[in-house]
Amino acid sequence: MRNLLQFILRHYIIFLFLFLEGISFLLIFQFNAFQKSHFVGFTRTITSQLQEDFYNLNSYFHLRVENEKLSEENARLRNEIDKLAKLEMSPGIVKDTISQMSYTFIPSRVVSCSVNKQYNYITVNKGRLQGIYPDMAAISETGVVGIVVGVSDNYSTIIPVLNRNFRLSARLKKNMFFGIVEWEGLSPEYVSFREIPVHIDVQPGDTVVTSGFSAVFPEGILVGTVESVKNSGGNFHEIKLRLSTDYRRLYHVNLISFNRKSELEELENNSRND
Amino acid sequence: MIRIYFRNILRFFTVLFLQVLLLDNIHLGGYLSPFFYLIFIILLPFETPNWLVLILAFLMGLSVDFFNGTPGMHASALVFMAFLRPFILKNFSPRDGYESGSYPRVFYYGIEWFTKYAILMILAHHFFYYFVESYRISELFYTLFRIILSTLLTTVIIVLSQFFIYRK
Repeated sequence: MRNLLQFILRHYIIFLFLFLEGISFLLIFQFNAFQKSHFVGFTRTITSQLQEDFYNLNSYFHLRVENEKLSEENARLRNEIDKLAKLEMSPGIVKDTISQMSYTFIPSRVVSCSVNKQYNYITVNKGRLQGIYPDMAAISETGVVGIVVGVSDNYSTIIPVLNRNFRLSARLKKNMFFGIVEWEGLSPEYVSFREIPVHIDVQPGDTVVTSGFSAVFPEGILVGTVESVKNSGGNFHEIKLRLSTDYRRLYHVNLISFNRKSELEELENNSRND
Repeated sequence: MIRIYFRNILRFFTVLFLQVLLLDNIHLGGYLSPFFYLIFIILLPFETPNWLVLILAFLMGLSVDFFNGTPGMHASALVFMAFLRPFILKNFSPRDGYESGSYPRVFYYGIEWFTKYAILMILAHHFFYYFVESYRISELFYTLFRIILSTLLTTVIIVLSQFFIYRK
């Protein structure tokens, strides 16, 4: 026993090292993707305030670009109002649209965002008190951003496309074939688009949009454009997509709640049970 | 003596906030960001007991983890680097050992010594960090590529900072 104690005392540095590494790895492995989002949510309540103050300061430098983006979006929306107004004048259209709204948009601002890790997360400044709940979709004015995973009172974390745990169901806009969008962990500009069979014609420049299958994302939100198509002998194309959203300049994010989610899920569960 | 404690506590927080608020927003080429906070462990005085270096490394790593939302990753890599520090210092020591009252800085031992010392420490940290992060061996060459580029970037920033902040 005394020898053991002496041995430990003599090499206490190594034991301290192993002990601290043990704690660190426990932390790494303890938190899988789900629990990690909770950890992130918990620590973010502490650190977000500080980061938000800094971001507020920083945002003054981007005002010009943001203004341009917003005015572009304004113009686009105004065009759509114009189109809708024309539609309304034609007979046979139901005018009561509020009760049928299936999606609600909640605007929010990015507090922190990373693109240089393998498992990136985004934090935004709206939380449970503003009506955010997990599994809401997040989009920006340029396209898909990600899905809400962790929610605290005033902040929420989003798992973006640039996270290796993220999968998104998407389809080619021109011929409606659907596949899966996944990030390979390399460049933050490109993702891969899988499971499109080889007999389907895909050309660089084709548009890819969300499929709307998951009831998280509305149908037809822009994901990106095809950058290159390769075929190395398998059954599927190897398609490289250029993301339409530049995560390095992300600032405004719209969170989308799907108002008929419970209805849809109930229906799907019922039919699965049969 | 108290001044040394005070200076290092101040440095701990300066380096931490510089890292999490400013440098974490730099993504060169989309995926490289400088890990400036390593300088805290690199610049600790020679006389710091080894156990204290380990504990400080753990605290520093965990603080950076808290801001980044990556539980344990920075902490484990920084503790590994802190563990290697005495061996690296011993390997590079001058013939008569380090003079008392001197610190591991460019000012005392010259840029060549400091760069050699810093690059080995940073390499150890990045090696550990990026392999834990990528968590698979299949992307070995991509990970090595990232390690080498990041090491160069961090080394350049840390060596340059010596001339900006610590003139004496």
